[in-house]
Amino acid sequence: MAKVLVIDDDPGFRRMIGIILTRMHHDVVEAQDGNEGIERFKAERPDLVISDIVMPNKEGIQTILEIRALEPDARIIAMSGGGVSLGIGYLGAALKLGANLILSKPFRPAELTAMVEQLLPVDTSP
Amino acid sequence: MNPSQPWLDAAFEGVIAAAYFAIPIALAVYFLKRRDSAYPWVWVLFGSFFALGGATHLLSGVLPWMPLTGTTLAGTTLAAKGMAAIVSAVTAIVMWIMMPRVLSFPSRGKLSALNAELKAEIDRRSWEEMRFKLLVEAVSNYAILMLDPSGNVTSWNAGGERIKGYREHEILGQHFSRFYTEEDRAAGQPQHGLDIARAEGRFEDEGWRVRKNGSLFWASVVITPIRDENGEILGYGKVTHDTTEQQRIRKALEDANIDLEHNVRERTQSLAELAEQLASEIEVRKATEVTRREATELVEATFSVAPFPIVIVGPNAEVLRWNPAGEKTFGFSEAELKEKGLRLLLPRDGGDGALRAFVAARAGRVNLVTKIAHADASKRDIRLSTMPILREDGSLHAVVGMMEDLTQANRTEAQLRQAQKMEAIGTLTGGLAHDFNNLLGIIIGNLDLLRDARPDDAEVTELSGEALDAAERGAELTRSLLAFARRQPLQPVRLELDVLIGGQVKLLSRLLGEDVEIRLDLADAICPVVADPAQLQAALTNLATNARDAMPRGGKLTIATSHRKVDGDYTAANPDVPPGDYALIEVTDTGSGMPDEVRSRIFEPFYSTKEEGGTGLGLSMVFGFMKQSGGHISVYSEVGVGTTFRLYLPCSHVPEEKKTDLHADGPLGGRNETILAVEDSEALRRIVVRQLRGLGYRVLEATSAAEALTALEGGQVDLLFTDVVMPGGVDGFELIELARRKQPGIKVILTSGFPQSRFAKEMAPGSFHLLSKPYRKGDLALLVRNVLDAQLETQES
Repeated sequence: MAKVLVIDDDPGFRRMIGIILTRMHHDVVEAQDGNEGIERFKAERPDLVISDIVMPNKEGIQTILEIRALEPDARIIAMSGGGVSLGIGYLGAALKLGANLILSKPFRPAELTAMVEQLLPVDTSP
Repeated sequence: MNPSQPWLDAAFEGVIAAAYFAIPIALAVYFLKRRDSAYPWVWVLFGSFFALGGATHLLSGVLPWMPLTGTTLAGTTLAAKGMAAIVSAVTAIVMWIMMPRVLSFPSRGKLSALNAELKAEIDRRSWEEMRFKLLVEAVSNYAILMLDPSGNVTSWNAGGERIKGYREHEILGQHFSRFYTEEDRAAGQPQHGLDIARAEGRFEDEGWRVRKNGSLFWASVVITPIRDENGEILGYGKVTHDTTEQQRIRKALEDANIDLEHNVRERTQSLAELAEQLASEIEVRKATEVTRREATELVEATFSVAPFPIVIVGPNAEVLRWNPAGEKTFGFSEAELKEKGLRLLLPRDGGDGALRAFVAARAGRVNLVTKIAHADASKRDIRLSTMPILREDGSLHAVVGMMEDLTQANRTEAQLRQAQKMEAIGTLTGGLAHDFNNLLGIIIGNLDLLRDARPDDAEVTELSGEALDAAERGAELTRSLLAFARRQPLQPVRLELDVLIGGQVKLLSRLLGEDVEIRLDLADAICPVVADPAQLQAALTNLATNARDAMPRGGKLTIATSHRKVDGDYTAANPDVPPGDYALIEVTDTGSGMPDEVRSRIFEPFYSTKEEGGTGLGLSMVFGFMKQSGGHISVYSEVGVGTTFRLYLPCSHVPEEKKTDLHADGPLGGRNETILAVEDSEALRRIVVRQLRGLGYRVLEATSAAEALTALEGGQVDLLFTDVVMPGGVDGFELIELARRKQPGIKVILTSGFPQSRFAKEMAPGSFHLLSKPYRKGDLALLVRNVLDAQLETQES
């Protein structure tokens, strides 16, 4: 049982990821953008962060950088529908700048499950 | 004596005395009559002698009869006798003394002769005088008169009468001053004339004289003095000529002359003024001429160096001038254009805008953008400004047309526009793809969750499976869109192209099928590149698929690699490609090729020529991938011949470049061999000609096989450098065949937009050398030199 923070501006996605994580018996905390995500991270201290990249107010890579600054050992999965900025793919950048794993949308739930299990070993759950 | 005779003696004495007295009287009478007698005092003495002799004889007769004393008588007689004795003695002495002088007097005979002579002379003179007189009298044109020393008229003639109106009797004895005018008389002119004549021997004068009737005439007068032998003035001869008529004529002449002179002066004056004007005009004109010549030179120079084409057209649309830039830009020489006219510039498929602009320019300036023909039969975009040049009288002198060749600018602009369009499409599709991925993510995730929620419901499983397949296809589409938009996640690694391509051949042969032969032409040493290998393979697969579709009846696919340096000429035409070293992958098919309008759009997303099965995203992906990888893709295609795609990937490590000496006198330079360059593209021909000349070769040019064959007739050519694909039905291979018939030893190099591997079938190994466009000067230099030298060695061996 772990606490997972899901940051995505698309409520449909947040809900879907929530269902997957709930099935894995994790607690889900949702945030709709980077700012809210940082606030929730500070308040909830989740075990895992799953963050979208392209979001309003505060986009994902900045959010990941700030979370990593708050908690160097934070476990973070970055996901994106794709995109490249200044010749570097968003996900590639996210990987370099603090994400533990990256996941491109669309993905199969099994892919997400595998990544979550990779970052949240069963023995770490209380 | 006796006394009876005294009377008688006295009588005799008386008679003698009387006779004696009579002689001096006779002498006196004679003397008085002949005063000019010589020695008159001798006559006086002689007379005195006779008188005294008579006196003595008288005394002797009278005295005896006188009552006188003897003494008185005797004394008187003695006195008389003494005087007579003295006078007689003197007379006798004188007579003797005078004898020689008297003897010198001519004798009577001599005097007679002298007299006769004198008479004859007198007669002669009288005749001459008469003749002269007759002559003088007869002369009527001249008044010839004699004046006495004081100026009175002493002779007259017919001329005087005619001229002056006086009859002889009227004028003789009159003073000649009456011929003068009052004023002249008052001024003392008549006497002045005489004085001058006397002093100088001649007086000449002209002036008005007065006739008897008071009328005036113009006289020309000469007065000469007449002197006796002692120089005493006897009178004057005066000749007067009436020159009134001559004077009138002269006056008229003078007037005429004055008029003439006046006219001449006036004329001279006006001529002088004219000359002055002319001189200043000449000066001005000289200056103007200089200015004009300089201006002309300046205009001519401007005309010649102007970087844009200028054509000058006469009123009848005949071409007068065509500047070097025109020839350079459009390939037509000035002579050609002058001969064939403006129509030469019109493109074949209509479009007479240029001609209309020249016609319309008669009325005023015209600006338009139109197309005109190039000598290589291509069309050029131009901006044309035509304007009339009018003469002073407003008539049309010429129409000047200035052109700006917009072709290259348009092409570059079109390329930039294309690049920007691709960029914009990329941004749009990238954003769209991103959003679709989110939606697809939700769809796919929930479908999976649904399947997991109802694992036993076969219907749910089947329907959700269908939905998932569709969603996956959607996801594939968005990945392609992202790839085109250069937003796909790439995992670039350093890779060797030959390895990568070699590993993919099997897969590709399966994809292409049995009808398509696959050929590899991989360079030995080629720089490594940094790229996502999976995406690069996907790109090659994509190109191979397109090639297969272009060769429905089979064909050949060639994949070649080479090293390529991109520089000046190439980057000028492709402004979005940075210069540098590239690894080049050429994918060439022998398919149907494509026309320009297709070729220019093939990288646009959703542009497809395939009736079914094409997403229109395949080449877009390749395009996006190449761009995202820092590379570049280009396409060369000839309808009916095939297509070559070129993938340029930047070298991650630039291999050591072989140093090539490209100077004319270097080892790779020409030795003045003659090369015939055959190339239908004006731009490429210009480049290759310039390069070959720069290398030290003599270069002939031809735009077609036909032109090339004509050039081969003209003389020995060492090397034929020809394009493979040319308009006109004869390709490079056929041209080589024909050329070898004319000059069997001729060496050849082919050049093409296709890689050499494309022509493997036509080119038996080693038979031809092919230089693939675009090539660099070094490649050209090396190949040309090698070909010339290799054949030379063959000939020598």
